[in-house]
Amino acid sequence: MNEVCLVHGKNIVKVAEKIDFNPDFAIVYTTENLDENTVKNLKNIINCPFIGCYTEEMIINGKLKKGTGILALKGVKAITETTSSPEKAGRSISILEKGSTIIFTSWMNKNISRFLRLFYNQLSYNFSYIGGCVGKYKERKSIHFTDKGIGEREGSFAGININMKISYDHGWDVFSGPYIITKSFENLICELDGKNAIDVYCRATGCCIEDFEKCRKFHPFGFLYALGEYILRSPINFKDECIEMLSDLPNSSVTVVMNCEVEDILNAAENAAMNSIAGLDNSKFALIFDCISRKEILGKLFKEEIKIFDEIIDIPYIGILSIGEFISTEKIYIPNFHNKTVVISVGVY
Amino acid sequence: MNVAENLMLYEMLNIKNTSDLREFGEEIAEKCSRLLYLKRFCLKIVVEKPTYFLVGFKDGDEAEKIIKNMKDRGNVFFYEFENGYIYIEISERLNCNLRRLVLLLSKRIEEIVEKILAEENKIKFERLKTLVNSIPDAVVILDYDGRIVKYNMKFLEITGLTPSIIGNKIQKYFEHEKEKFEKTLELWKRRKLNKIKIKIGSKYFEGNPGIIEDENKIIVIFRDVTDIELINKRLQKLVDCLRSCIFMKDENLRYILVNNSFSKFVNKPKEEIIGKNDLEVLPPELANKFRELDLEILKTKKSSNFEVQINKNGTKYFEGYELPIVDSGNVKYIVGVIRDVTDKKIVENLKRLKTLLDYSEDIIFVVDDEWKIVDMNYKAKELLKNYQSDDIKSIIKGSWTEKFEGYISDKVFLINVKSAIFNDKKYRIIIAKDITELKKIEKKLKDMNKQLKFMNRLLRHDISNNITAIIGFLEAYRETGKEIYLDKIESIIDSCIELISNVRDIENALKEELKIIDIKYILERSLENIKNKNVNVSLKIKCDDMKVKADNLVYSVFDNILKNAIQHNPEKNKIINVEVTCDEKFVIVKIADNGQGIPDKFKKYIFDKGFKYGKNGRTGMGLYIVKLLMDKYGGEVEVKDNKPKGSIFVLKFRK
Repeated sequence: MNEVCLVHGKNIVKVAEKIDFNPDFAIVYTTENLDENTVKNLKNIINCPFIGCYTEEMIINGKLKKGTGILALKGVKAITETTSSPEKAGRSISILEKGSTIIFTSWMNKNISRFLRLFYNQLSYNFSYIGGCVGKYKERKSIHFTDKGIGEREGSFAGININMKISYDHGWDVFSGPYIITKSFENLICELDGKNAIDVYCRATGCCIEDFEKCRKFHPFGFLYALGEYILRSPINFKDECIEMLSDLPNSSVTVVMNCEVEDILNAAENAAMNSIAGLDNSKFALIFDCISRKEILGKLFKEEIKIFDEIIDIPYIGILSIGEFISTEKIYIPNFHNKTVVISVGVY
Repeated sequence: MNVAENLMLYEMLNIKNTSDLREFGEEIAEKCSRLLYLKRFCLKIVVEKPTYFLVGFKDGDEAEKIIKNMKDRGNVFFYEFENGYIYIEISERLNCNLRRLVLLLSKRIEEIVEKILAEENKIKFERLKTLVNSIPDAVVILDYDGRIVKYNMKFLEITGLTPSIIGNKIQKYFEHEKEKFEKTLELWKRRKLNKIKIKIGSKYFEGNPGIIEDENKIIVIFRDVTDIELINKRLQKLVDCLRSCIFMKDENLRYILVNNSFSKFVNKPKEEIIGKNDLEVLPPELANKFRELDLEILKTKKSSNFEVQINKNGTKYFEGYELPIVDSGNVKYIVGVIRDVTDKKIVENLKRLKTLLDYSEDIIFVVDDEWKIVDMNYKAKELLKNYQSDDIKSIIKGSWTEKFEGYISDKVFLINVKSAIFNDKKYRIIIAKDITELKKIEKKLKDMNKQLKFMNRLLRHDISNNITAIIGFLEAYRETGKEIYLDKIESIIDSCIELISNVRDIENALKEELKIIDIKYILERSLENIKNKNVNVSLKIKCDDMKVKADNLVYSVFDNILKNAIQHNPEKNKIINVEVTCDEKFVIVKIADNGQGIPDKFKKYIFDKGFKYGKNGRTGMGLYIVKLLMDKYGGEVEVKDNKPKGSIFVLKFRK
């Protein structure tokens, strides 16, 4: 019998005890500090494979919440792994042959694109991929876990033998550019069109360097993505006349500076939510990965975005505020690393 | 194309200028993953071995397997170039624009791969150049034809060549070593990296080759080995002085040093031995023995002794040992010494032979060409104690042939004469087997055979005649009823019984063993037996001890003579006088009767088998048995006339 149970509360152990059946798989989010013992205790209570993370806030029942939220599933088969080797995790999960995967890692991971590609190489297009970088950015703390253990820089992976329809949108548009990244190093853009990157960025956005912190929220970079779309990447700082980005940068790439209107962002959330449930008969649950930067941009209006989710998604759902999102879709099989995007995946079984 | 497509084209083709193949491959994989609706991707670049950049494939093997069957699909783009291929599989059909785009990308990839490889080769070449110049020894790089590609200053210094040698064949500059160079280059071409040794002026250089795989070139590093060469030459001279065979093998069990003795030992010049292994140098049997020994030494790293025997042009014996020279835990060389020990072996064998001969029961002499004794065994020495002569023909009497019966003093020997050559001198070995006893036995057997033949005749002929006579007398009795015929039959039966008794005595006489018997009691008992037959018997014993060599049949001697004395005596008053005397050797028994005596003409026949005399002659065996037994006892018997009448039988028993 297929069952879904969403429970929420303060203490992670007590919340787990609220699950009213023996689950086959669980997704656990918590805003509370946790360690290996907590994960062990959790394992003893729910006694099934699970994946989870430490997060700023959770999205449950149309609200941002603190504490612990667990979405427990019955009637699925799941394999989990916490490891620094995405290949090893892929090999373990490949036993399922097809299905969906959930991936959590740290935004401090230096080459997330490669990390995702190595995982994809083991499972290929027989699986869909969602997930994101997790933790509390301000605390510089990233914790994710499975029933196999707890990780920080490594990855936590779960494979489940059900389909998950993935929808995403961001609502951003090209503001200026294109610019050619003429000098970069790891996650630093040092030159755009052969000129000092900060100078070019400031000129493009009309901001001065002193306003960089404010400006970067509203003007991410856009990188070409699957014939006409853009992947957003957030500048997070500037360092030695270079712009520091979240994780790795596409090599020798063309970039644009993006801009957004609040209305477009909210529309994107609505669009993603509508698409996620459209045409599905047996949707059982939904997972939301909403970029934390959207909350910063929307401010008080962020409640509206959450309200939109709650109004449209009429099945149990649970979400987190992510620091970068991993997405594959029906057409784009390979998971890519996005920023400032809302991703909704709906489990069907 | 719209703006996005234009930008994508730009980005696709704008590949970072790098010489790092891995960075390049990763960039292409990332670009394709992000910009295309990619399902699977494979970029294979072959530099020495293939390197794969993969998306959606677990590994290169899986990629190769799948790509083989997918190339022609509508959503697949495949482009092969000299050093690899690119495979792009997207989630939908490739439209014209996209196909053009990925074709352009592929050509760009091909171009960059070529550039990277050229760059790598250039780097390798530069590295090589740096390497060559950094080596303190003389270095030259050659192609497989021997053309000089590169060299360092040290090479010019030692060869005295000028810098304009590039592109020319090295053989050209070393006319005196041209043949050696050409042979060695042929080996190097076949990747047999033998060292080359050349002489420049008064100095010797050893060239160590190595293959530069990517460039099909040979790098040769020359070391000045003049000192080593001189030491080697001195060492060679030194080992050549030694009578023992000396050799040295490398870890591949190839000879690297041999001395003149070894060369002589294997009957090959040194040039044909050096660089070869045992199987190429030694006869197969010997080679296999050495190979086993060498492999054992390589394994155990311990020295080993050996002995070999070569049976060519006479047997030769060699012994020696092999010693491993170990470096860094491995056997690097094996040094061996072989000594000819044939003479030692011969001496040992002769000693062993002499010991064996001394233990022999036969008498053995070694004589020279003039029949003079040069050696003999212990038995022979014992025999010749009383002989002064060293002339064998005066010691052994007989008709000398290869095998004959000869005599030494009173003994008979079967003599075998064999010729032998020691140290080119001719000798004869004379083996004398004592057959004296054998001869006696032979004679005895002959006698026994005669006796058996005689007994057979007696039983077959005499008894058959007697039975015929009995049948005749029986028929006569039936016809006439006269008792006389029965008496005759009874007499013939008695004769038959006596004959059978005689045969038994003869048979016993042949097998009874001699012992010391006191004949006094036997003689008295025999005389006692005839007392009731109207015979006057007297016995005079003039001897204290009547113990003689005889057997249990000795009574038959007395019985037969006494019986004859009675039967052949027609007198009513029959007298038999017996006298016993002794001398040093014999006990003499004289038995005298008063019968009719024996005429002289019969005296010499009376002891013959079957001789019958007179009308009372019965079997003709009695006296024959007497003579037979007396001969056996080593005694004598004779008959004399008695005075005034009768006979005297004199029996001489050996004490």
